[in-house]
Amino acid sequence: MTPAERPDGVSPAPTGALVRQALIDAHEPDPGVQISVTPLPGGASRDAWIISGAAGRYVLKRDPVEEKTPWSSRQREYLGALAAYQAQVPVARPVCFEPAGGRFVSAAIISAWTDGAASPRRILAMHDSTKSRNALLYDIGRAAGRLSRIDVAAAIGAADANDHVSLLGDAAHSDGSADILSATLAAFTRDLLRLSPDRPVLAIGLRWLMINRPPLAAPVLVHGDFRLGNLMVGDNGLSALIDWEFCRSGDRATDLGFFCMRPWRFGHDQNRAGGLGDLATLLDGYNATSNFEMTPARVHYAEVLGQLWWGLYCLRNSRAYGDGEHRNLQRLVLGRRIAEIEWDLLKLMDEVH
Amino acid sequence: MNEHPDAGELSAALEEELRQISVLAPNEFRMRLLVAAHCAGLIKRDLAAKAHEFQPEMHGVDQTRLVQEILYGARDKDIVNLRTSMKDEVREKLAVANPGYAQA
Repeated sequence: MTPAERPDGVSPAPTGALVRQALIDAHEPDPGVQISVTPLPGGASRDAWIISGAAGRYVLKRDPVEEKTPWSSRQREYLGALAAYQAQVPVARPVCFEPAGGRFVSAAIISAWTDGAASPRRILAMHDSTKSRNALLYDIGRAAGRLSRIDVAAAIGAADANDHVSLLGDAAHSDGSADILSATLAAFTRDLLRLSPDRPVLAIGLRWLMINRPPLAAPVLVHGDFRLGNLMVGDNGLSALIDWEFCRSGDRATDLGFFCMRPWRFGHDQNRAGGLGDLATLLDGYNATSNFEMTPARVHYAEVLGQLWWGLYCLRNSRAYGDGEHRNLQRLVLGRRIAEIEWDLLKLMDEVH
Repeated sequence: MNEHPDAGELSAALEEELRQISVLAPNEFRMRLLVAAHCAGLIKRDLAAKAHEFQPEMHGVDQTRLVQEILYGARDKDIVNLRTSMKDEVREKLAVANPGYAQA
């Protein structure tokens, strides 16, 4: 029975026995037969469960079984997270990747459990002083800087040979194309004309990106969804950057710009960098670990780029409901966020003339 | 048609009902109920604003053609004025989609 046919619309969970075998095959300690598989609420686009056994806890993330053409690749997600883990970026340790058609039916990954809060509002509440927020922001910048040093082709190149997933703006995949921005803007143009050819504000944003391009820089591995909601934060600060679903080859300011977007400030709009503090602190952390001197102007450009990506992603989710690709109300209603995105785009373009 | 409760009243009541149930719901369903409540709120505000429906022509300008002109550089000279004129339209849409967003 598919989720669409089930009265609660929820994908059936993988069995404990299958999860146990996957962990053993990945050379993890035997979790035993008493395994609990509990839904992990939060994510709208993938299914996820907390796995608890005798040897500890894990997170299993799987493509919805009814989704015929997933929008992002679990293999790429696994490889991107693994490369980041090996480069000492704080990441939930990737344990294994299971391909579609395997033991979990659709493609899946298992990661080790990481302690900490992933709720932006909780993180902001936990860090209620400027000093504490700046310390966290600096650590986030350091993590982004380390990430930018990873060789993107070596990290996720292996996924692309069989990766037919069409991600928004991901035209260049990880082939090391030097001019990643040209490829991205060309893909945005195609997507805009296909998804919403009657929205002048998005077109103005795209034209602004074409006119105001920063100097060329080699592409790097980007997380692609770098925001407070995808960070695990514990008592000792940043513990993991999670949810590598959209990792890809991109311009090196992509993650910093996305982090600064207004939707991810959670009401603390005066604090441009993730609602935590100012951009300078984030860049101090980034420049301490990166091999590239990042500028505020380049981050500003990437923020506009991120707004466009987010807008097209929302439109695509909305369209996909009508096309019968999914039956998820949360993804359908994303289309109504477009006015927020248009407003933010207009404000951002006003900041630089 | 003067049916009562009307569509606006029903959607408002539905929003309130879903928010109340969400407090009692198990974790895995709470978010879904809140999303449903949010949708009911959108419908309520759409109805109150007589729905901001798609208009292929605004101020006598075909929007699809305008998009093409912008993308291919034909409007570069007046793009700043174009941005300014778009703000009021977006503000109107925001009043329905997310009241208060433009004021913050």
